[in-house]
Amino acid sequence: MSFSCFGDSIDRLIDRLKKLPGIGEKTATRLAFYMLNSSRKEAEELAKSIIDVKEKVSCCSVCFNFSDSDPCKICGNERRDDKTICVVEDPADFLAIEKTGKYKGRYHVLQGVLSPLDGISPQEIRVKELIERLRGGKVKEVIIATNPSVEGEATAIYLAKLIKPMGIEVTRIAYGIPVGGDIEYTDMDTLSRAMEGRRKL
Amino acid sequence: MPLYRTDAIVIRSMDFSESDKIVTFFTRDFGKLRGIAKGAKKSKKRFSNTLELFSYISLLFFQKENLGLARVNNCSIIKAHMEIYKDIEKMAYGSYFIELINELVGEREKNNEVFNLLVDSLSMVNGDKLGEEIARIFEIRLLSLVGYQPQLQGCLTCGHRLSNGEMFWFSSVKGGIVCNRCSHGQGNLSPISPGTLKILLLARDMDLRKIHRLIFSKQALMESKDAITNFIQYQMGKEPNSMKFLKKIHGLS
Repeated sequence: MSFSCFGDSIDRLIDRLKKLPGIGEKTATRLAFYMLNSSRKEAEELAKSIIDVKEKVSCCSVCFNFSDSDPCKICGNERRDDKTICVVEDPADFLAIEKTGKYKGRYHVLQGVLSPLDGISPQEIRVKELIERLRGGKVKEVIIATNPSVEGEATAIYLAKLIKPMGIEVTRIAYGIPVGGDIEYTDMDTLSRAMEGRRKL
Repeated sequence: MPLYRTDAIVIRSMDFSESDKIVTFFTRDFGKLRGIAKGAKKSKKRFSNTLELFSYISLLFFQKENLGLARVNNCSIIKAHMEIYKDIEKMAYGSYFIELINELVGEREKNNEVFNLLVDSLSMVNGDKLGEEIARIFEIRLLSLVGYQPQLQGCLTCGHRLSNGEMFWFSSVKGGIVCNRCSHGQGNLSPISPGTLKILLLARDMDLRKIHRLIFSKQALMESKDAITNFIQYQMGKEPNSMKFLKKIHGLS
């Protein structure tokens, strides 16, 4: 329990805020005082938006992204390309790719990666649902955009082994040197993959 | 603040706050060690891909006192074990090894032999040897090295020695084998043939550099799995996550 001298309601707010990721005692106290000093309207809006998120946002039944509606805006958008599906680990990765504006196809959110240490097997993530989607026959290419970590890589290769026999092209996002990077300081592994994945100018 | 250098294998890697990682290493000179790598998530230049699971690295770290998290200063890769994550089953076996180390070895207990065992086992998984065989070898050797060695040479109750042709029973509760006569009235026993016992003893005592030549028969694999893997679960008090994972992927195919 924290040092208490403000009375129960402030302490309770601080305690609640402390539970949020990346927020410690000091930040929680600062946030609590900010809320205390802000107008009633502002506080109500914050409370309402938190409740809204919990009540309205659910999982899209097609791509398993977070969404207000089902199917979500992207799955419901007829102008997007039905022939490609981009597979990502979680909604944050979806957001990053969508922000680039380069990709016009559909998405599939796995909601995790395979991880033996955490006991996360193919049944725990949305693999079965992806395979079901592919059975429709519309899809020509699956782009696997999991993280280039050990788990992400293992998941990518596992999915490729499952999907290739269905006659669908499976591609992996490229590895390489970041824009503005420096070849001299790039690690050997990334550099050798960048050489392998080179392309014609 | 002294600076240390040692060989290490990454056995757990966890995101921490905005851009840091808390990494558990199994090191040659300091045993199991937890350290914080500042900026590991953001700066690809500093740690690049050295802090990935299974990486065999040369680790440089600071340590204030003998307690708490070490501060990872620099890492360079010795071996990356790239083949492991190209195959989900290999990855599951590799994870099983590091999970057992995480569970059965205490923090800061230096054990050079366990370290060599882990390095060699991971490099075998990275090669062509059957994962299941490596797992059995790893289990029996690890148990002996950390002080849980099961008795496999003769009956625990009457001392009856291992001889040709006679079946024995393995008891997880007793931590060893019992002969047919002494097995009556005891629950939770799994049968184990003399052939299996012999190969387990070989796997335990053979020179690690030659161990890749050892080949288990199908029966030996099954019997030793029933006995030793269950014994480990009995000692740990739970089923390792990576074991559950293996069962599930075997169930799928």
